[in-house]
Amino acid sequence: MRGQLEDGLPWALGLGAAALLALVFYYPVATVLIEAVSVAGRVTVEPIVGILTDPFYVGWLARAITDPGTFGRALLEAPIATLTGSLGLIGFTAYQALLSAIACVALGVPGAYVLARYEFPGREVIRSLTILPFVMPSIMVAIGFVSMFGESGTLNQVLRALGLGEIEVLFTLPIVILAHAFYNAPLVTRVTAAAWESIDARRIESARSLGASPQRAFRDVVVPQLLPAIATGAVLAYIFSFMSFAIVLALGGLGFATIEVWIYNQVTQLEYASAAALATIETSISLGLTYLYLRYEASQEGIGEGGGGGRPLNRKPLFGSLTPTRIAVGGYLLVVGVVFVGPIASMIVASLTNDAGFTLANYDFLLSRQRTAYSFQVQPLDAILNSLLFAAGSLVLSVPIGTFVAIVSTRRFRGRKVIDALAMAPIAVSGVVVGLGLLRGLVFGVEVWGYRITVTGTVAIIAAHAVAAYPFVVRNLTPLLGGLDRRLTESARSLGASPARAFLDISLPLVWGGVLAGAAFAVAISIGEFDSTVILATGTESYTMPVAVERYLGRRLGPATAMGCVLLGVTSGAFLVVERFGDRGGLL
Amino acid sequence: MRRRDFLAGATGGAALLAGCQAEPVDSGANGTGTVGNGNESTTSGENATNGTTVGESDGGQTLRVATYPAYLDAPSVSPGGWVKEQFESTHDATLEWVSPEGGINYFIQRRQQNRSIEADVYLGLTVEELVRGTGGSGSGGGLFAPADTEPIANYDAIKPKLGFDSANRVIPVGTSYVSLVYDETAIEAPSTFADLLEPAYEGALIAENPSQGATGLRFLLQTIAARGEDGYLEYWSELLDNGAQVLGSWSDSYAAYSNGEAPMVISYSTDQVFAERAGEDLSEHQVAFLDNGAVPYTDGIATFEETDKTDLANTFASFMLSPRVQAKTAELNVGLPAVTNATLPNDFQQLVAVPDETIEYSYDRLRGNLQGWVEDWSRQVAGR
Repeated sequence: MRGQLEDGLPWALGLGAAALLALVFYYPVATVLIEAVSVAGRVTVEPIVGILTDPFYVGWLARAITDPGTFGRALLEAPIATLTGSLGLIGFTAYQALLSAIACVALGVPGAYVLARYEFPGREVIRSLTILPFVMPSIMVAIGFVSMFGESGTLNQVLRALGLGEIEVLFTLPIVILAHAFYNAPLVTRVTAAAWESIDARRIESARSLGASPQRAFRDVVVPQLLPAIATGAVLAYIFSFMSFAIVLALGGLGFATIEVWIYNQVTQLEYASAAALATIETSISLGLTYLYLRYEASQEGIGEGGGGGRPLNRKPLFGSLTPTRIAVGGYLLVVGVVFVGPIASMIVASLTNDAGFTLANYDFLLSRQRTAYSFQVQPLDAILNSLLFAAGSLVLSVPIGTFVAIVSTRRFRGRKVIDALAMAPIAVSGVVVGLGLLRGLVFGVEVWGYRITVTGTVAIIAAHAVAAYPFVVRNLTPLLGGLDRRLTESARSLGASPARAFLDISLPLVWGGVLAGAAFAVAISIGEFDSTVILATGTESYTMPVAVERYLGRRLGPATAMGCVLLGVTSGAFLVVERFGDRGGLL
Repeated sequence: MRRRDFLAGATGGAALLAGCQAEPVDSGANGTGTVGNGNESTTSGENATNGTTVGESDGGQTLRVATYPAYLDAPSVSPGGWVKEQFESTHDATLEWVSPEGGINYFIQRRQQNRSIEADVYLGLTVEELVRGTGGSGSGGGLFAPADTEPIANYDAIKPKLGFDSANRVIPVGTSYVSLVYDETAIEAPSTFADLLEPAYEGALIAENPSQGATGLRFLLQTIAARGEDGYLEYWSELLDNGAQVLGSWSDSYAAYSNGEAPMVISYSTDQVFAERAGEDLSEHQVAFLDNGAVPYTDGIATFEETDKTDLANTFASFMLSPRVQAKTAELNVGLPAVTNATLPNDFQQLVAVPDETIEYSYDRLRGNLQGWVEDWSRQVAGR
């Protein structure tokens, strides 16, 4: 009986996950993307071809397609000038995403080193809080960045006070890239730190005992285990920067427009065909990249084999005699102070000051809104509770789904990497398109046997959040599952355990760290989500903290920044709770 | 703890499954009168039951008024609460706000997907939204019905230059002007479009994406009026060469301006009203009009074609146009009344700048042109 239940579990999970994805992702998105290849009921490739042959979108590629002869000659005569001359909207989007991903690795990996290899008071808390940038609404990041890096921002005030001149970075590409790094470098840090901590100290010791120098042991033992994690972080950072929208316009300006900006513009003008065509191209690039990365990840499988049960490396105290490494770490922490702490601190200061100096008026505003708001206005406490409810719901849904997908994608069968790449689609499809799809598919409803089914409100929002979140569970788990020693589960199976039982008893405890990391992202994605929340909301009673931030944004920034600080505070609390809870051994 | 959070969230909001619905699809008949569901803010405590009573009186009817979110919920002031209370206390009717996130686009999309419209009137419709709602360059697909202005009280008092729809689908209820807001301690106001190209104004201006809001679009329209359809792109090219910035939304721009990133921003001519209320230094909130003109930001009431409550909609329009309501909503929305016989408080009136020349863009002028202008401009700016 119990065995039957366990046999049925994977099927139930699989069907449930497939149904959920179909209902709140694939079907809605399809209703929009279909317009890229169908005009007035006729199948056509016109919109997509139109884009791929338009220099505005693809720069020199358009010339290469429409007039290969001339382009070929130009390429031979002046290769570099031809290729860098004009990138087009799509080329520029890819270019800035590449720079952003590089910046994320440069800023993120040293952070993983510090967190994994040094001991200092508050390390665990800081580690938990590295997820904070991820939940910040882009408006808050923009406000934080302007008040930190602007002409009269904090950084320039400090530089001027030190007699170091000033920097002008606002409305330039570097500030856009730095903002992308603010969002995504912590992601690189988290996945890399997790990999670093799972390195078995005994392997380094045996390499050393065989005569390897510390550098050699690092290169041969540590680096191969870190690279897949760094690559995961870099690919995710690339995709997120590739799909960036609001932050580009707020800090850079329309001159740095990305594909997503254009999709938004087209959708507001109700130009669905070109929006859908652009979104299709955008998604193809993201998924293509994901696929290439997954092929690489698969080729790395086995390197960590036998990992999971080892003894972690000892941590060195952060504070101590001044060695070159400690000085370098100090320099890095200074950068962290400017890039990550600075904007957040500036926002907190902005919420506590006005022209006259210190004030609590902005928080007073939140309290009075709570007391006096009309039923059609956002109340801060409702927003907080909704955010927590949705986050808990999306956690409960996305972890089993993500775990299931991760197991499936680590089974060995042909084409599994294609399935794995497709499973990442929720983070690779334009947010604007997903929003429009949810509106058409769920809010406007589907006609089934004479009934119009609409799904909105709490259930729909949680489902949408879970779908957006589960790819993170998958990405955190797949490398760990791939690295597990298969002999362990095989022996459990030979002793009569069902596959489900073998997974729960043997594999799951070994990859628990990955589940936890995925769960943290699931919570963060849910708390930070804006678009599908407002679209699926049945009214103010299902609004969340980011929605409140947006509603409180007016001519003065105070009320919105105060709500933004509440968001940060509540999120920090939630994370400390989730991670403490997980550390104590968790549910199983 | 978990359980408590859960319950609090569930009771604080709708019942958990309230959002899942299956309704029989309307088979023929007159298709109207579907009970509002899903994506809207319902304000009436009781279930908004279907009021398809046909009759002359408004007896106990519910008027579903759609509007954009900021009309109901803004951090400073918003007219929504006052309008509802006043309308209900002076009429035997209930006003139910419907405020989907997408504003008018939500209803246009419903219409495109052949869904019923869950509102009777739209409050706050602008000329560009009317253009979009009637299918851009296409033939007028009827989302809104032309109003019979005869029964609308005080209609004749509407300022002559405000009407932008000769078919009377939109009755103007409020206006303001899009202008330069500048910091006089940092810069002297430019007076012409040519001035903005001078070295004195290098890097001095922040504007907005016309696809993301009323201010950016109106400034673009003013440059088209100043330099012509054939000349505005060239002008913008020079303007951007002189360091003008085009950011995303008005919020993006105004935040950058407030932080001192540039001494001028495209905003509203009512800026000093806010500044005064917030106790800010007015010298940092000066208003200037280029070439002494401005494109008005006028919005109005439009009645959805599907509604069967035309009489109640007209009653609401009469209410909104009455001098008392005009004065109060102008103050709460920080704009100007649409009628000539509303009296604003003196101090308010003094703080609102009005241009010598109003640059009108009617529905007929924009239809078939607007999208191309914006598209060409966007391509030029983004392609730089």
